[in-house]
Amino acid sequence: MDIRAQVSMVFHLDKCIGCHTCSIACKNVWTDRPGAEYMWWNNVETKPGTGFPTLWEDQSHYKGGWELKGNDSNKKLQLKSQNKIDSFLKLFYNPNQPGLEDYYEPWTYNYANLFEAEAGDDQPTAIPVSLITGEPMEIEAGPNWDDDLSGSTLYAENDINLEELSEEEREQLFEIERVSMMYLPRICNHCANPSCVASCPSGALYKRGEDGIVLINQDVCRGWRACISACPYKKIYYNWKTGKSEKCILCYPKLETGQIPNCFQSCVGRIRYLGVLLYDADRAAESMKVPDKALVESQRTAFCDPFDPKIIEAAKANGISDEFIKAAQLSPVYKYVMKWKIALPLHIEYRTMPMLFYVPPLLPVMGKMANGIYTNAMENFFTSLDKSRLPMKYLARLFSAGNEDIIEYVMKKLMAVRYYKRSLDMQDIDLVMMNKMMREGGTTPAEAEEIYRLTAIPTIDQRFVIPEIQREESIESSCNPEICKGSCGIGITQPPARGF
Amino acid sequence: MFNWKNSPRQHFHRYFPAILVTAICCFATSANAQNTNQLFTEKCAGCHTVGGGALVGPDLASVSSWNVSDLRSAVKRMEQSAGPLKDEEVDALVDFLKQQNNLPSPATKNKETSKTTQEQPETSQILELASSENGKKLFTGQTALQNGGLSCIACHQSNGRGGNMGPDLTLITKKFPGNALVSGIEKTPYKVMKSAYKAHPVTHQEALDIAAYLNETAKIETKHERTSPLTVGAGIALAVLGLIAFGYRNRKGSARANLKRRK
Amino acid sequence: MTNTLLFIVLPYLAVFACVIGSIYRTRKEPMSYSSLSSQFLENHGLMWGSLPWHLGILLILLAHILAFVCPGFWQTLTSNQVLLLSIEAAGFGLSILCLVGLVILAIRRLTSPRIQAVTTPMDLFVIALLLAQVALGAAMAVHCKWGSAWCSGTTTPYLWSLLLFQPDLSTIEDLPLIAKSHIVCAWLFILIIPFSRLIHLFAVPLEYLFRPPQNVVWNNSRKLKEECSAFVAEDTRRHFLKAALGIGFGAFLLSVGTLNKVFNFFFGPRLSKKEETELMEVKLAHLESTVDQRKLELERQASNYIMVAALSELNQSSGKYFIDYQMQPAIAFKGKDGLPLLISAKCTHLGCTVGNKVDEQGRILCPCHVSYFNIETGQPNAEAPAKAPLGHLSWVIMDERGSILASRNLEGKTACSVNQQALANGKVYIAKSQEDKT
Repeated sequence: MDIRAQVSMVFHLDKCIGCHTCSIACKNVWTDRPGAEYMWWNNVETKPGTGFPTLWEDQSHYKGGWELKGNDSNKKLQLKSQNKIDSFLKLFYNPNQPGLEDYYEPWTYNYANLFEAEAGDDQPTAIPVSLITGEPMEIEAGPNWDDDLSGSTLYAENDINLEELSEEEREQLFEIERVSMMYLPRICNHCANPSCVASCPSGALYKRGEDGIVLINQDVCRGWRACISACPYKKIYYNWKTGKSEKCILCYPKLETGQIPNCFQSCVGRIRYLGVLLYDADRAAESMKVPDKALVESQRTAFCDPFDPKIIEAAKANGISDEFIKAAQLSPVYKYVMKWKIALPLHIEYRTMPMLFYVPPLLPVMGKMANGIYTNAMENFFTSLDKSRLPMKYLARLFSAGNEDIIEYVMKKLMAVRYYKRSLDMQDIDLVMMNKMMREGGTTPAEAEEIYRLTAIPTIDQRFVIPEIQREESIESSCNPEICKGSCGIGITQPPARGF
Repeated sequence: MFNWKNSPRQHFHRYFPAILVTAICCFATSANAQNTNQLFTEKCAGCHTVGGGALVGPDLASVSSWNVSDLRSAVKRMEQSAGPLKDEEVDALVDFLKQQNNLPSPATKNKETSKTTQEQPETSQILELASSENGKKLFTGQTALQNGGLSCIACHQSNGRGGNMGPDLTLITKKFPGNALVSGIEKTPYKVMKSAYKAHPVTHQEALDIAAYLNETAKIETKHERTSPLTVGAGIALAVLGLIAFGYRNRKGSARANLKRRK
Repeated sequence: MTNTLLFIVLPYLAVFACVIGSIYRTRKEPMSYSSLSSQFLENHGLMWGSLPWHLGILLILLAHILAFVCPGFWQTLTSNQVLLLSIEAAGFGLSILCLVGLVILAIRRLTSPRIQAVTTPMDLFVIALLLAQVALGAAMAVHCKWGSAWCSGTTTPYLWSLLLFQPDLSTIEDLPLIAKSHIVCAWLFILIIPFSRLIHLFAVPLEYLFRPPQNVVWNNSRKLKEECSAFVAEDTRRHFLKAALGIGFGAFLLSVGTLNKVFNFFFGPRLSKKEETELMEVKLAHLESTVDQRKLELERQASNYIMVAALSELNQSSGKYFIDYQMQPAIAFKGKDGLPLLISAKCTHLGCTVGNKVDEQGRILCPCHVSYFNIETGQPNAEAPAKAPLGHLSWVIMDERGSILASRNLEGKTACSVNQQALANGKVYIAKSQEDKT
């Protein structure tokens, strides 16, 4: 048993309003510089949609993540495109690497023209100019080009997660009366079995032992770009100016001092939760060697109960501090993922064991106008699951590797909580109906109350349980920093200039 | 400006008398000196040329200005390197060297020298002792040279096969018959070879064998290589490019471009 | 001078700059140490440029290194006609492949505005240099073909001589211009490695083949307290391994040379029985001849006088050779005064024997390098390579009975006791007593 702590995350999608504030908070701090203009360490996608970069979920194109190889007795995980020998050929040209066309060409506007243009008959305009070449350019795409289903015939209809839907279901999905969408904010998953780390030829990518943050050592990175195609979430970006790759750092400088990462802090809908999960590192890769539909359950077997004395002992033996164990016990993530089991990983079929979990969106309340009065469309007040506008199959493709039972379980529980609260507060729900829903959702009033409190009215301390890293215990005090800093140094030690 | 009609060929008739006179001069001189020529090529040409530039020994073009007695003693002294010389031979060589300034130019002279000494009973006598078969193996590198020197074929062609840094040796016996060739191979007093074989000298037996082989090649019609490695090389390059094209035939372009195209 | 500069100074400068510069850059400027890929900005041209170029140049470079590091092995390979032709064909093919790739890369770099946004002047220089270098290589395959064979006798010994710090240009200085340019370009290439994107040559991630898939780093001392010492030990071991690897490689290079000699000593070509006998016979004959000579020498040493000639035999125009007490040649003439004139015949330039014919100006010629010596004074002519004069020897003239009629000592002082008539019948000797004084 090799117990490690992971600073993990839960995004409650029911609360996301798709405002992109998180993306801007991140961009302003980390990626507002030459070579990084196109990077969105945090971005918000509209689903159904093709995302950023376009069609990133299509692994037949980008070949990211792991795949299960071998027979039943000897199963092993293998990188889908960056095997050892194979990746040497790909140093020179990587057919799976997304190009600028798959993201977008970053641009600004020639604002000066508004003031400096010669006097003329026409109003001067600020034409877009490329941030790479400085030339005037035609804007063809942007970071959220398919936002709110814009261009849906081109983008949303080609969402790869719709593959298993029948033609009829697809048509229904995009019917103007029923059309529906959800938002999917994404940052790096800081996976426990990261394929990017495994693929890095230079060994520049590493996972921190204490908090599980995945980082790229900029001094060691040689720009071979294997991680970019190996990451199935396309959350590693190539800086075209410095010739090195960059990714979300979970604002570790803030985390280390007990502060909240930018995208979490700025979240308007307060959808984000941050907390520690204890997991067994020996089980991390092992748990990913099961068939697709069993992956969500299998991943949970790798997580450990922070109240179990044996686990606490093993964690302490492994150098995990008391602060981390305490944070793990208070962790909102542990509650969502392990206790209530209503937060699910995104695309776990990539087998990287992502440590960012999503509470799937419950179907929106359907309203209608009748005689000038707005009323609920449904007889049961809340939509029934079988009439859901976002089909279960679609959500299952996103959050449970196609296992609809898991989605149904989560939905029913979420529904039960709603019925429970409605009946308590408004008393307009039949008790028999409420109890039936509670039974179906497999929850108790106490649990429902708890879910409600953490979902709807949590304080900031409940949403973000961050253990401070004890700087006085860091390696510099016990180990020769000259030896250690080269191997576990943190990111950039020099100005990010391009080599000559 | 250059006019293509004005090529040297058009003016051949102007130069023709001069060339004719030169040729006659050469022929006259060389006919007299046929035996001496043979003697010179046997005894001296391994290390000396007359007007052909310095080899191991100095160019002997200038000695014609020496007085006869000095020249005689100088030739006599070469006994150290060339083996015992009879008095008549010394005299003949002295005469030969004294006559050199009568000859028009070193180049034509060399040509004449070689022409007149094509058939030599003496030569074949020496070379028959050696095995041209071994010589061929040594030349082509099937057998390594005893002292680890490069095989000849690395730089020289014979019968259309071999490198082209050095001259084609197919007809070399016509230029350096008999002993001259042997000593040439053995002492390697030429550009590039001089230093390349300094540490890896060719043995006398090897020199004899190779000379025997070269003597034989001169008699055979030149064959041309069937396929040039260059053609094969270009083929390889094309093949690799084809392989790349084949390996990435299913390469998908930009995902968004594909989407738009599909639509 | 130019040769020394290009083939001795430049290589050492290049390798020195490359080693020091690369170490400095990889250690102190790690941020600038990257492959600087531009695939992200331009994809299609890169495939057709980068793949052929890298595939081709890697194999070509490996072959060059093999030919240099294992010359014996390489020579064995290239002695096989089929292999040699294959190597030549493959080499030419790959160089064409490289050229195609480079041209595409160059066009791409010059035409794509996005690529130009990340192009430095050094990048353009690198492409130009590589184009020149590969074109030269391909041209060599055509004009001085079979370079894979002749390199073992020319460039390989040159490179080894540089490596062993005994630079020897003789093997390459007569190579055709095209081959020499190829060598110079190669040194330039090495020179600019640390100052250009070529530094990525050293970034080849070989360790990737052997490392475990995951990479976990702990910053916390609690976990590391016990592991830190292990880490330090590991690091020391890594340094040790690196050093050992470096030293090992150096030793390997040196031992290849040494072993080659040792191997030849024990297993090298042997003389056949016949050849051995012949060799011994030659040695014996040589010994025998020296015995005779030595005997003669001793005999001469024993006598107080050595006869040169009868005075009547000597004349003024043609000297008579004789050997003096030091076993050196000398010539005897009759002087204008009718007395003997004995002069050393060993040229003061390089020791050739001087001719014995006196020309109209009273000079004798050393035929080796054309020095004329005046027999009266012994002085060489002004243009002669010999600068010092020939020495005169002392002599005595004795009659049959052994009584001294006349003599001249080393200072040139002549004593004459009898008349010319008596002298004419006398014989000229050199005296031991006089010689001993010298």
